[in-house]
This record gives sequence, structure tokens and C-alpha cells, in this order.
Amino acid sequence: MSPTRVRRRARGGAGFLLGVAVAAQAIAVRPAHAQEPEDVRVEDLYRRIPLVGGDPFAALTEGRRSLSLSTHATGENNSLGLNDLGALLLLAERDSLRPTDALDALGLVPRGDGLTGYGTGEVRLRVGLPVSSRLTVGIGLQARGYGSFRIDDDAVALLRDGNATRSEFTLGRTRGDGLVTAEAGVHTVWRAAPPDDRSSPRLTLGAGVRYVEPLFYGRALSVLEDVDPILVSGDSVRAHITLSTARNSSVGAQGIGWLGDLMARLEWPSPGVAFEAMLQDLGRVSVDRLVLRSEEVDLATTRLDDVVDVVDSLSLTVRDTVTADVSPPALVGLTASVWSWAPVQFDGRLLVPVGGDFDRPPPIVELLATWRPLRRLPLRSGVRLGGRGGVGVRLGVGWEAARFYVRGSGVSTGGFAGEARGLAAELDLGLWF
Amino acid sequence: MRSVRGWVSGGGATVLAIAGGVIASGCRPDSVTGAREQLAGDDTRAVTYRLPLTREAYGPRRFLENTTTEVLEDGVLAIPLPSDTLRGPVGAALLFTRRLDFEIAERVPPGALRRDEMASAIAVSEIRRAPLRLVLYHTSRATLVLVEPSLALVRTDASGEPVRDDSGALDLERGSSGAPIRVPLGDRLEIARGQRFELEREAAPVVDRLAELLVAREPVAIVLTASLRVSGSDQPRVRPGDALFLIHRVSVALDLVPPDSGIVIRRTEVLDGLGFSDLDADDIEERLIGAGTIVDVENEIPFRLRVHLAYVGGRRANEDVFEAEDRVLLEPLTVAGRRGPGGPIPRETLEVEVPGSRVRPLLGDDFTLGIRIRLLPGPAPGGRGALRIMDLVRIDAQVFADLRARGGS
Repeated sequence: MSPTRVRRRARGGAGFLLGVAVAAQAIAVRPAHAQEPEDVRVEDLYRRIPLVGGDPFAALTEGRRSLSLSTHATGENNSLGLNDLGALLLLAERDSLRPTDALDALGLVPRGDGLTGYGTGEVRLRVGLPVSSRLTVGIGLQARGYGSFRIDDDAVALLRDGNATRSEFTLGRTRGDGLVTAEAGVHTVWRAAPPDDRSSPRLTLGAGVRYVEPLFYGRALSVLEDVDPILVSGDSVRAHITLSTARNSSVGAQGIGWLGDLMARLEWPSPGVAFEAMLQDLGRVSVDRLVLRSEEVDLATTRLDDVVDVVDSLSLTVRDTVTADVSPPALVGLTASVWSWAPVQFDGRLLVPVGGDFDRPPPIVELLATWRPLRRLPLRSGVRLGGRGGVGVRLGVGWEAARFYVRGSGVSTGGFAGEARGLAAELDLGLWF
Repeated sequence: MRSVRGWVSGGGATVLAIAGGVIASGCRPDSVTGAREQLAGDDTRAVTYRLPLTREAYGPRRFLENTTTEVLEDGVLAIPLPSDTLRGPVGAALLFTRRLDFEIAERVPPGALRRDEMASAIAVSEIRRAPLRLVLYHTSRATLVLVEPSLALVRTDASGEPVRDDSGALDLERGSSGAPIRVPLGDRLEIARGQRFELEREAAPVVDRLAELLVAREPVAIVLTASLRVSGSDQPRVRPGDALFLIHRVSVALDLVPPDSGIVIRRTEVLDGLGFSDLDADDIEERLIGAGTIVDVENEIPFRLRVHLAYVGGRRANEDVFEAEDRVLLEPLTVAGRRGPGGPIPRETLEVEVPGSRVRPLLGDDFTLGIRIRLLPGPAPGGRGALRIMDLVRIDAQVFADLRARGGS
């Protein structure tokens, strides 16, 4: 193991031990109000609605001991609805997938956008421990996965639109990325006023850091040499492309990284208004043992079988093994909430992916309403605009009591049920103790 | 870390199971037909693909790919006939008579001109150029003089002897005017003892008739006639066994006038198709709503061309594609001949719509393409033209197919 790597592991281990020490102190110094959650209005425990897709400050802003298990998955593409995917799966299973079926599916790819897809998944276990009446520390373990792909519209167009009206194509921004990480993090939330003080505005600040071990990283992309387009005319094919991949040869500890999260929330309990800003996943991950492979394709032929031969004989050659820095997509979230007209709470949220080495989805605007027909039974519904899938809806339900909660929500974009082009699902389980 | 990997696996499996369950329960059609209907949607559009049929350049060498050829100094392609040596006895009587009517006749082997397609075509054309190289030498110790020597043709009988008229003279082949077809070699050729006398002549009239007779399988001999004398300045010695030898080598230049019916050149080529299985090809055929062919021909040779193309599915190189029952015959295309080597290159394009089913043979692994090129008299006076080695006929044939597909947004 290299000295640098040893130092990195030492830093990571030290950070984690520090978090454990803080947790031990928090357990020893148990705030009085934590013993009496029944005294708090139940709905006030759940005013802050976590982001779908993983919220590093979930359950930490209430100043109570908590144990939470959360999982979420998001999958989104801009072209195929669930019905279409189901049809493709069925045809593939029955060995009946024909070229014309693929052609029909390609007809759904919006012109100018190409085929894009994005997915995330996360499983998180976290303990929230109040250190004082104003400070809460959360210690969490989680595993996350990011993935995205893009097939440039210029590449899709060859099959989707034919080569009668145009004969030059490019692979453009065609690429695919995937990163799987295991993470351990410490997040702290500081409140300017005690949680039971409902008379004054509440300022809540949060910050946290996560130690990240990349388990797997893969990337594939193409580079057009000399900016020459790919010519596919009725009489000849010409292309000069370099295909390259970079990925770990196996799944396991592959490096180290640190990601940070920040949050600021200002809440007026009496009129029932809150504003929040959050910056999530800020940082980079260093991935070791990335095996770089590439293959240069230089093709000029008048015969289709030459093209097939080249594709069949394509064998990416190992060029190097390197360490690379990878940045997962950071997320800026701005939220405004109002619950003056109880029992309904309205939340408006803007989510803007920033930076990152992955293909970022477009910004998302989400409007959400929470209605409690029973105090402990929230029904959440909302609309989503933007993203890859287009207009979507969010529905959620849960049981949010003084000592525990369970809630689930789902987001459908691009349509409802079988027409949906994107799905997000989240399940939270938590205990207050 | 192992537990974290377990989370990843477990969480991923859960998510996949949920997603799979959702898709399996609510978003999967019941049947293949239902799945196809789902993918096909309600809106359709036509997607047009252009597919190559052939893009080949045919030069004279490819016209004559089974024939030995040579290139003349000006680039014109020629077919060499086998070289032969004729031997004629001089005879000691020459010392006394000092003058002798001399003739050598040698039957041309029947296979001198291959009876393949192109050779036959050449035979029915009017050959306008045939370079002839001769070497003359003799074995006597005298200087021999050939007066008014000439080459000619004479048919031979069953025993291989030249046919003669009633007077015993050679019955030489005659032209349309009735005069014997001759290639004069000069007024007087003087060949010293031990000397090899070489000369070149144009022998087109003789070779034109020779080609006709060879292709028609008529036995024929080349004959050298002359009046032979002995030069009197030295002390000549002619022995009974002395002989005069003539080595001739002639090439048939592809400088000719094709007949009005043209010279037909056929080629058959097995080419790779799009490689779809029968099931996939059937499926695509069902989606075809139209198709067409585009044939583009560039003609650098000085003859007018008429190009026919036909194809059938599969590897059928040994068949005449044009005669196959399931052939797809494309519209023929006629292209003018080029006016001289520096003239503009004539080009013609023909686009024709055809039923979509005619694309079907191209969708499999292989298809066989038949090409028939008919050379017709060119734009030069008399229709004459010369095929030069660098002149090409470029044939670019494409097929376009319109497929019905789901409409894009």
C-alpha cells in the first residue's frame, strides 16, 4: 500500500473515530426534551421534508435522538415509458425482438436530445444524537450508486431517421458513467434556538462530511478524431473514431474521497414559513487502479461486411492503469415551505445539479402539498417539472408518530403508471428515542 | 465494508425487484403481439435507408479477366496472339535461277485466340489496329533479297495444306472488294547472311479476318509471299537444306468498331447482404412501404454503354442471374461514350421506384449480382474507339428502402 494511501486511510479512520466519540458523549449527555417527544406537536417533527434521492440532514434538525434507515432508487430516461420497456423486455425474453421493434423504440427518442438515462440508488443507516439542546450529530453509513448514459442524438439519428436525407453522423457526447461508493459520514446540525421555542425564528445550520470509498467506477466514451463526422452514405462508410473505457477490473475498495454537505434553514414556526438552502455531494473521489483501454477505428470502405468485421474484431487494448479524480453530481436545493393554512403544508423546491463528471440531468422544480387527514397520517402529493423525464407527479404516504415513522413516496415523470419515463421511490423508517 | 457491500447488493436487488415487479405487473403486455402494438404506437412515419448494391470500377482488364493482355505504348490494351516461327526452304536452285517465287504458309493453331466471351465480341467487331513484329533470317551463305514481300491468309484443307486455285496459286483470303487481304512488308528486304532482320507493321486487315476465322473455327494459315533473289555482289553459297525463317508476333489491340448490336460483357459477383436472419428479414419486408434503385454510371471509355443489373438472393455465382426466375431486374441505363481521352466524362443517373419486396434479396447474408455491360459504337467517326488501360466504367448502384416506423417526437 502506498504511503499516500495509508495517510488517506488514517485520515478516514480518524474522522470516523471522532464521530464515534462524539456519539458516545451524546448518549451520555441526554437532553431532557428528548425523553418527552409526546410534548411536541407531531407534525412539527416532520415539517422538513427530505429530498427524494437522499437527504444527508434528514431527521437531524429536530434535536432528538433518532435511528433511521432510508433507501431510495431513481431511474429516469427521456424516451421510453414503462409500457415500452415492458414490451421490449417481453420481446427479448421470448426471443422475438426484431430490428423493426428496435426501430420503433428509437422513434421515441426526442429529436435533438438523444437518448439519455440517469439512475441513483442509496441505502443509509444513521443515528442522530443530540449533543446539546442546540447541536445534533448524525453518524451514518451508506452505500450509493450513480449512473448515467447518453447516446448523442447525432448517433441515434442514423438508425432513427435513416441515411437518405443526411449521410454524416457523429457520436458526439455519447458516453456512459457509473460509480458505486461506500460511505461513512458525520453530520452536525446547529440550531440558533431550542426546538421547543416556538416564539422566535429558528435558524438551523448543518454541515457534514462523508468519507467515501469507491467500490467501482466505470466510464466509456468515444472521441471523433480530427472532428471528421462518420460518413454513412449509400455507397460508402468512413469513420475515424477512438473508443475508450476506464474502469476498475473488480469491485472492492478502489480509492478514497471526501464529500461535503451544507444546509441552512430559517423557519418561523408561528406563521408557519421556512426557507432552506442545501448543497449536497460537494467534493471529489479519487479512484485507484483505473484500467484505461482504447481502440482506434479507422474505417473507409464501400462494403458493409467490412464494417461488421471491424465491429466484430473490436478489442479494446489496455493502455495504462491510473488514479483518477471523479466528481459525483453535486446538488443545489432551494426550498420554501408554508403551513399557515393548516392542515395543509406547501413546499416549493428547486433542485439544480451542478458540476460533476456524470451526465447531469436538467434542473427540477417540485411543488408539494402535505395534507394530514389524521395528525399522524400525512398524504403528500406534488408535481415535478424539468429533469429528464418531463412533467411528473409525486405521491407519498406515511405514518409519522411521536416515537417512530415510516413513510414512502414515489415520483413518476413523463406520465403516469405505464407512460412514466422516470421513477423514483423512497422508503424511510425511523425511531425517535 | 463487507456489510456495506451487502447493503448495496440488497438495496440494488430490492430496487430491481420493485422495478421489475412494477413492470411485470402493470406495464408488460400479455403477448408478443401486444408488445409489438405497444412499441408501434399510433403514429407512423417513413424512415428511408440507402443501401449499397455495388460500387465497382470496371476497366478493360476486368472485361478480359480470363484473357492474357498487354498494354501498348499509348496505353491501349491488346491481346497478344501466340508467336510462331515459319520455315520455308530456299533451295540450291536459287543459285541458278537467281530468282524464285517464295511462299511460306503455317497453320495458325485453333486456340490462338481464346474463344471466350470477349474474344468472340472482338471477332464480330472491326479491328482497327494490330501491331505486327517480324523477324526474318536464313541459314544460307548468301544475301537474300525479298521483293514485294507480304503477309496474307489462306484457308487450309483437312490435311492442313493451304487451299489453292486451279492454277496452283494460293487462294488467299479476299476482302469485300475482291482483292486479297495483304499486309505489305516493303518493296525490297535485303537480308545478309547471319543477319536477323526485324520490322514492324500494322496488320489490322489481316488480323481482323484472322480473328473472325479463328472464332468461327475455320482452319487458316498465315502465309508470307515474296519474290526471292540472291544478291550478286559476293560469292553466294546456298545448300539444299537452307531455309528462310520468319518469326511473327501480332497483338490484337482493342481499337475497334463494335457491331451495332454491341459487345456484351457479363460479370457475376457474390456480395454481402445486410446479414439479417430470415425472421428478421421477413419482419423488415412487412414494414417496407416503398423502395427504389439509383444507378449511376461514369463512362471513361470511348464506347456508348448500356448497363443492365440484376440480383438474386444467396450465393449463386454459377447461375446466369439474368435468367433466374426470382431475379430482380433493374432498369437499364445508357451512357454516351467519351469523346477522346481528354474529353468530359459522360455520366448518367437513373432513379426508379420499385416495390418494396424487391429489396428482400439484399437483406440476407449474401446476394448475387449480375452485371451486363453492352459496348456500343462510340461518338468517334465510324463508332471506332480504343480501350485504354486507364479508362474505367464506374458503376454505383444503391437501393433505398422506406420502412414504416413509429413516429418520433
